[in-house]
Amino acid sequence: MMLRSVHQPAPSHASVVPLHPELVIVQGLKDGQPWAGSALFERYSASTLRLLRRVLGHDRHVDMEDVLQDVFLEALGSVGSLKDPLALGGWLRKIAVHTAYRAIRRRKARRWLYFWEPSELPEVSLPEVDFVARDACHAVYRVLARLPADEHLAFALRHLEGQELTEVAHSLGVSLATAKRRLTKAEGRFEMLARREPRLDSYFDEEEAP
Amino acid sequence: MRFAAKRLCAELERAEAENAEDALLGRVALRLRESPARRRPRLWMAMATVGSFALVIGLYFGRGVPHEGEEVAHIDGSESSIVGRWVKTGEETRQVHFADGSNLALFPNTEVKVEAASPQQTRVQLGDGRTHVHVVHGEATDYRFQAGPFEIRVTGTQFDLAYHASSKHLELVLLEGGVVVTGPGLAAPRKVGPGEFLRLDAVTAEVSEPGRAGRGALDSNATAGAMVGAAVEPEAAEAAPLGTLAASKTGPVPATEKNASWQVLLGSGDRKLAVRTAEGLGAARLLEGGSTSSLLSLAQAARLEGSPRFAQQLLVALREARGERGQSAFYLGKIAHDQLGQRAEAQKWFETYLREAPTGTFAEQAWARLLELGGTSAQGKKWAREYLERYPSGASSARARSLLF
Repeated sequence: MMLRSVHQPAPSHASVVPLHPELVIVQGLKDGQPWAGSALFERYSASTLRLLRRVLGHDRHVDMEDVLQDVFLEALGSVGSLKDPLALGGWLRKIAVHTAYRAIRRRKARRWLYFWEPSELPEVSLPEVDFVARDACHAVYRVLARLPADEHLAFALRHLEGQELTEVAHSLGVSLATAKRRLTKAEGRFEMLARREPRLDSYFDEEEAP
Repeated sequence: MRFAAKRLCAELERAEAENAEDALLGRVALRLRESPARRRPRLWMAMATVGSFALVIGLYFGRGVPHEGEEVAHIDGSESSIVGRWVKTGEETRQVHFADGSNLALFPNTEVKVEAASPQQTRVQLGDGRTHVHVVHGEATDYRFQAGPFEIRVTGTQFDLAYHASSKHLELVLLEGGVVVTGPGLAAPRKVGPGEFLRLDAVTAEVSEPGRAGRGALDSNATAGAMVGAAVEPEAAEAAPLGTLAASKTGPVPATEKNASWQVLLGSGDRKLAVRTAEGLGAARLLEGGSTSSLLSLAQAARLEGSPRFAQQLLVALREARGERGQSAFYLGKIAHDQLGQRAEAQKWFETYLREAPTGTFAEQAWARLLELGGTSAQGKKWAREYLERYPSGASSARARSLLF
């Protein structure tokens, strides 16, 4: 489905706080309404990007634009399978998690290719940025990159995105028990590897995390 | 687990707040609009990647240091050249450096492409937004700026250039030297001298010259260019997203002139006096002679110096007369909510901001403000649901949940 300009006239969903906008958007997508794709993107792109960033970090080898585009292409192409329109947000998060999973797998498979740095815009270097914290964030994603993809996802969703265990299970499409097992493994492995990262030393001085 | 993930999360939140991703979202929206077909990995791409290895290795090792005269322009100290690429700033100010020492200070939400950067000629395309330009004079200096249908030719100068792609109008404040402008509305190439402020409309071909900007405007705007990367006062830093940073710990411009203009005072860091001086002139008159970036700075200064009504007037006037959108609405909401106690007005502006910039830097804050304004009412609960949908672990998620459960 092709996305149209958001400036095109749209039905009642155009107000800031519509009543159950998910219903309107899903119906619009199923009916092939041109505005619905834009409405979906406008409503969920920022939160989806945030989720992807939390899971994948700011790794220069991940083209976030491609990943985000894939999420929405997948969503637009499979909206017919969505049974409960009110679950649109959760459904989209699930697609984002699976897309991130594929990106992690791809990155692992292609790691041998990355021995030169592609040309790109540098990260923002404003004076008020906490460089120590930024280095720590990079270190965390370096550690995560060494975990199996499913454990990487479980850890990132639980500890970086802050999802509840049930949400993690739902996003991963597994049972609660499996999610717990996976998370326990991920935490153990993460802690072992993170202790070798000097930039993360100070993060082990806190009380036990929930 | 003994790893302090919560603390790391808080730091990630902060870093993300500093890195607006509107540009990325805009590009993906455009891609989806223009080419909705799924991207599939292609065999030829893999083969091309492997095939180009040898070439890359050859180039990498054979190239050594950049050759003299090579076309380079760097952004914020990066090693890679941005020549030939469109770059867009988010909510931050970025600086582009050229080999001859010239530079551009790009204001937030500004889009530029350095098309060429050779010793013979430098060509820059300003797609949208504002930039402070400082071109170092040399024997063969030839800088050309393209902004929509307008072209500005430079031999050595400092100026502020803004182009609003939506309304197709150009603003030029010349600080030093001289430039020649061509484009719609100008029968012949127009020379612009120091202190001149020129506004051109590409649609109506209307030319307006509200008067000389005066040394005040120059100082205020020049400070913005010099400010990139310098330490700033917290309040000034807060004011920064809306436009020029008004004051700095380093290199303030002394306001020694008697009856100094508000621009000079703002540039020197005397915000209080700048606001008082400008208040005396009134919003309508200020609009006649001030560049948009300096007026946005003035509005921020007024907000911070306890003149909320004046700040409100200025922001509304900038929205009406200059088509400013987005952050001006957020700040109008903030003024109404925090300083004037106008809850309905605040709600209106926060809603306006979310319509104009649904994924903007302040979107989460705007939703959080709406939550606060809505309280436990049915409307408040709707906002709480909306908030949690977008920011399930956002800074106000606990509050939103408490409203619902």
